[in-house]
Amino acid sequence: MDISIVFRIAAVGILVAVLNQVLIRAGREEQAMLTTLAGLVVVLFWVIGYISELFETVRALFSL
Amino acid sequence: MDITKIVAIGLIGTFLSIAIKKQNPEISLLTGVITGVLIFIMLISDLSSLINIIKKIGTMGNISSSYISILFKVIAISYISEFGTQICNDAGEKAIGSKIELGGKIIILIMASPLMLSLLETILQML
Repeated sequence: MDISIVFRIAAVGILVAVLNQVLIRAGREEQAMLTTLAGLVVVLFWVIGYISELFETVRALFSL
Repeated sequence: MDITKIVAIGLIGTFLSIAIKKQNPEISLLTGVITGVLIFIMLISDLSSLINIIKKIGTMGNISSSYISILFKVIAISYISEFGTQICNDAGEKAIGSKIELGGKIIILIMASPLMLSLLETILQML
């Protein structure tokens, strides 16, 4: 639960952006779009894990 | 939890989110979301001590604990719906944000209705 998750997500974002450009320059637009989607799915899974933990904490804290 | 750490994490998250906004708007939105979640999770310990203090005040003023628990539920619901609404507004989807806010308000009204009824009854008895 520290700052490294933010850096990890930003790193995935930058990596996907660079890969996207490289693949587009290489003429493979489909693969570029697929890598963007793959990066997005990976980041989404991380974020969903954190958000569910946040909602669970709020539920426990306020005895909802 | 000192305020400088919170501001530092918030700024770092904002810079990273802006940095990748042009190439990758989805992941930049998720960076903003994860920064918000991180800051809140860091504040949990302070929040729980605050809640205990409020509970103590409630028992001291011999306010019945059901009102206090309704109060906490309303606070929790408003925080979660606010969380969702702000994310949707960040992404530019104001319509979805306002729908979430509407849902939150309705749930809060339902939850607070017994409170209002008992208040009205006490007022009517006084008259």
